[in-house]
Amino acid sequence: MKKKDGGGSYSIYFDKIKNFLEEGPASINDICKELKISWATAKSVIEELKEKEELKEIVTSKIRIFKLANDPAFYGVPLTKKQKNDALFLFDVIKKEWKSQEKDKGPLLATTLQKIAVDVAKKCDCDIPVVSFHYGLVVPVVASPYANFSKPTNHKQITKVVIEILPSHPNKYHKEIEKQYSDYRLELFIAKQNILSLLKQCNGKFEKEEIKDSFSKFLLLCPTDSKETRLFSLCSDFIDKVYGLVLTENFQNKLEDIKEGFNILWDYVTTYLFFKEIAPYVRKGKQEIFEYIKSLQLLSKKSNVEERINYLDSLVDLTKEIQLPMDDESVMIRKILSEGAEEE
Amino acid sequence: MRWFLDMCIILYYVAQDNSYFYKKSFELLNQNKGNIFLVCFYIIDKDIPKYLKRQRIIIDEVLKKVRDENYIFGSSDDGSFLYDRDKQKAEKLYLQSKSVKDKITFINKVKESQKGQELLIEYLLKTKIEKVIPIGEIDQKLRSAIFTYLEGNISDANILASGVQEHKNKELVLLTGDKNHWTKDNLQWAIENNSELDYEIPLIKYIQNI
Repeated sequence: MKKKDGGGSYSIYFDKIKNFLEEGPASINDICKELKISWATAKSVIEELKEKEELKEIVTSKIRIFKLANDPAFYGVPLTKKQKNDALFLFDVIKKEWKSQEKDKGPLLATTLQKIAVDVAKKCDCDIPVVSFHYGLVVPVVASPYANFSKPTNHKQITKVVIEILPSHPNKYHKEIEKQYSDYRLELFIAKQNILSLLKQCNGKFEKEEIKDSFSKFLLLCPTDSKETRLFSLCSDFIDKVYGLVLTENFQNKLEDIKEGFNILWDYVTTYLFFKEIAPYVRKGKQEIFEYIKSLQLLSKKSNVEERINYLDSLVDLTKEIQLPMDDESVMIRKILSEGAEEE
Repeated sequence: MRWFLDMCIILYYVAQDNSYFYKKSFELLNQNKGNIFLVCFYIIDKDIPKYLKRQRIIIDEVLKKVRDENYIFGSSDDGSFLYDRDKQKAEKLYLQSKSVKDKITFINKVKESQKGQELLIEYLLKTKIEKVIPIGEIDQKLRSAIFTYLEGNISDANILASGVQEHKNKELVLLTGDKNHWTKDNLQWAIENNSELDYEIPLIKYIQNI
């Protein structure tokens, strides 16, 4: 054991641990194995780094995971040092080229920066992840101005593609979003936009059929996954509650609640998509940590949705008997649903 | 008259499908003159929630198949809750989806029907029905005796036991559409062959015959 320094820390291990964590979050066990130090030493060093605010703890129910406080990866997912470096380099090139070429379009918006980064990452032959997030596709790294990075080997290609792509970006928030949704055929995102704009519009007038169509379309596009079965059923449950409000004529009065609830559902859906799409970028040794981070995030978002679904259910006001549609198809559907009633 | 309803009467009522059973249930439940409608807590707390959960899963299974025709009914975690007859309903609904002009319209109709039926059940229970015999108060001996004659149908055993007990409190008529299990013979065998059970058998009526 090295002697403690004047500050009372095992400073010799500081850099080693920080270097190791540059490759993504790790558990104490992983740190012990990698650095070949005892659990007690690792714990002491980690505690000191936490006090200095250089490390953060991701608390899960089963394991303590630590990441660098300035780790730029979204949710602290274990991206490699190279992936993060290349993404940071890409952001830097975009910012510099924007200043020199496109300043007439005003200061570069954070949204535009992300959308350009996605275009470039998709066009270049590079290991920069591109995944779905709340407002479309993103490079899941925070473009911090203070981040350190170096030039990747394909820096010339990246710069060339950035220069090519910049002029096609309008640098207007809504236009950037629309452009990406349409360029990459992000149909689920378009369906979400459609719902939100309908909810916004129908303050004065309530278009029942359009609202129902928009939610049904959303459900048609919602992801299904045998490992995350609650995802589809929660989307379906949420839409049931919206239908409940439509059927009982309570919809118009509860627009804000529906909007808020839908945003919470969307947060869960896109977090799920984020983790699903980023998984292939996570290297083998980090998969367990990745699964912990993923389940921690999805669990809390899922409970938020469940809470909202219960709340929407409580808004249904059943003071009068509702009438169900009597067209042939609806009647046939109910006939099938009610078959075998005497066996129940 | 005091009518003790089997769950199927509630399901016929909310079907709104123009069927004979629907019309009969609708007529009866809307005849307020001197009628009191009773449902036991076993139906409200156990059977209806289970039924609605299965209905929701059926719909989700159908929607998964509408999105992807290679999807196999019952292959999801939730799908394992479904009975064979539920999977048949899912198959039929899926076939029905093909006759609706587009997928979105089909989803609208199916969701509206399912949610609508849930709301109608809630409304019916809230406004037209009295609840009787808490689950904890079901006479276990009576229930076991009835269970023996019901081909292992624990749900019907609980409901019929509740009806027979409530009949002892005050006269009622058992109302069902199920001519196979809710029979005078079954109740007679169960009760009259057991000297420990001091119950009279209520009259049983079938919705199709009233």
